Order: sequence, then C-alpha cells, then structure tokens
Amino acid sequence: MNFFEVFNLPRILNIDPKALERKFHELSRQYHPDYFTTAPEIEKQKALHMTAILNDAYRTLRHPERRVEYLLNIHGFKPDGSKAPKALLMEIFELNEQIEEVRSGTASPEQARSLAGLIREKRERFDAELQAASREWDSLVADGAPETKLKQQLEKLTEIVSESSYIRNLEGETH
Amino acid sequence: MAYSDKVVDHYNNPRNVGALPKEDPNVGTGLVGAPECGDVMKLQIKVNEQTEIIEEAKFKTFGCGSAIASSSLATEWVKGKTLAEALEIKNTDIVKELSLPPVKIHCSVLAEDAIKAAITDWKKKHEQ
Repeated sequence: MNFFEVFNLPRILNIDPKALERKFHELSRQYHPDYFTTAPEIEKQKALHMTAILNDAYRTLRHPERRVEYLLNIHGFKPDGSKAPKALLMEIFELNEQIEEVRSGTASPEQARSLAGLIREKRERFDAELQAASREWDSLVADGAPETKLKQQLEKLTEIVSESSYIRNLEGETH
Repeated sequence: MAYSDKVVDHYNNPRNVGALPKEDPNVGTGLVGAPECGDVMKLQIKVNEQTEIIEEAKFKTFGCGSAIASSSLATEWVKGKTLAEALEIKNTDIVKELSLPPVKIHCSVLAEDAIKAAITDWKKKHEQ
C-alpha cells in the first residue's frame, strides 16, 4: 500500500493540507490501539502496522517537496547528480563561496544582504517551478494521459527536484 | 555518527585546498554535485602535456566532513599520477582508506566523479 492509497487519494500533487489533516485524524482514530484491546492478536498487529504507515504517509504527503520526491520514488525516478546542468552547479558553487565570505567577515553588510536576496529569489523560483510542474502532472493524471506523457512529466519533476537539496543547503548556511 | 580518525584529520587539515586558474590550458576543472545531500565539489588538476603526469591538484568542497575528506584525499592521490593511473582510482578505494560508513559512500562517488570530470575537461582542452 503506497502513501497515496493510505489516504485513498489518486497520485496527485496538489493536495489540500486541511483536508489531508482531517483525513489523517479520522484514520488515526480508526486505527487507534484503544479500539483493538479486545480484538484478536492479528487485528491488533494490523492496526498497529497501519498506524505506523499512516504516520509516515502523513509526514511525507503534507510536505509539498517530499510529496513530489515520494511520487518520483514510487515510479522509480530519482535525482541523478551526473545529469545536473553545469550552469546550476556553477551557480550553487559561487553562492556557497559568497556565503563563506560573509561568514568569514570579509564581505560587506551590503554584500551579505544582496546574497540573502539572491538565495531567497532562488528559493522562490524553485517553488514556482515545482508548483507549475506539479499542476501539469495533476492535469495529466486527471485527463488520463498516456504513459509516455506521464513519464516525460516525471522526468521533468525529477530534474526540478534535484535542485532542492542544494537550495536547502544554501538556506541552512545563511539562516 | 562518529567520523573515523582519517576523516577528522582531512577535515581539520585539508590538503590542497584552493584553486588553479581555470583558463590555463594545462588545468582541468571538474565540478560535481550530489543531489542526495546538496554537496558541491570542485577539483582541479594541472597536467604536464608531455608526460600527462598530474603535477598539481586543488579542491574546494562545500559539504559534510566526509565529502571534504574524500576530495582532500583524492587530490593527494592524483598528484604524481598519470591521467591513466588517476582514472583507475575507484570510490571504493576512498571508502576503504577513510573507513566511510554506508550512508557516506556517495561522498566518495562524488570525489571519483570529480577526478573524472577534471580529466575530461583537460582532455577536451587538448583535443585539437
């Protein structure tokens, strides 16, 4: 049972967080150990197992980026470092170098501010791209698009997602 | 997670940190990244055109201790080797030397990729 199935959802990427949370609480109650105190051992184990899956599923699906990563994962796609565009790596490297300058105190306060702005912009661009590609995926699913189209979109999502850990690192270094 | 003594040593005293002039025809630059963790690594080699021996190597890595140690070790290893010999260096050699745990194996892969990318870049400059 995959995480989408746990919530009885199609494999879509735009999930209403409120609805997901409600469903999570509802299912949590349904599988709560208290309801299984007198049940046969096998039922007890099953409920316990479901509670564990449910928690993992909720943690993963409520987070837009992790949701995409999970979708890619169950389709056998994963970010490939050797395919990262050279321009991206150069940009990330240079930003890291600037962060180092700021931290070592050799950069001016203006440089530090403009660097923080650059990283914020990078994050915003990334979020927007991911959202757009996620919406495209959802409409393909809704339209019952052919396998090849879905695969193309998964490839596109993989490419976008492969940037996320670089951006997270940049943010981790500046915040 | 505890780092091995060798990783700590390379982390505290990284060898060959720095940069070589990218435009120098005898310098090959490899820039690689790990999407799993967001580490980026630049490794540069200066190669003698006649002998194809790597005379100098520099690196700069933004990443965890294992990634820094792997690239530091890689620069130590490639120095004095021919390009053909340097291509023989496998990530598993790095894993063994630094006693990297399974979760850090991708750091050694990154270092191997960086060596290969630097050599490829140098060769590209010398195709003509």
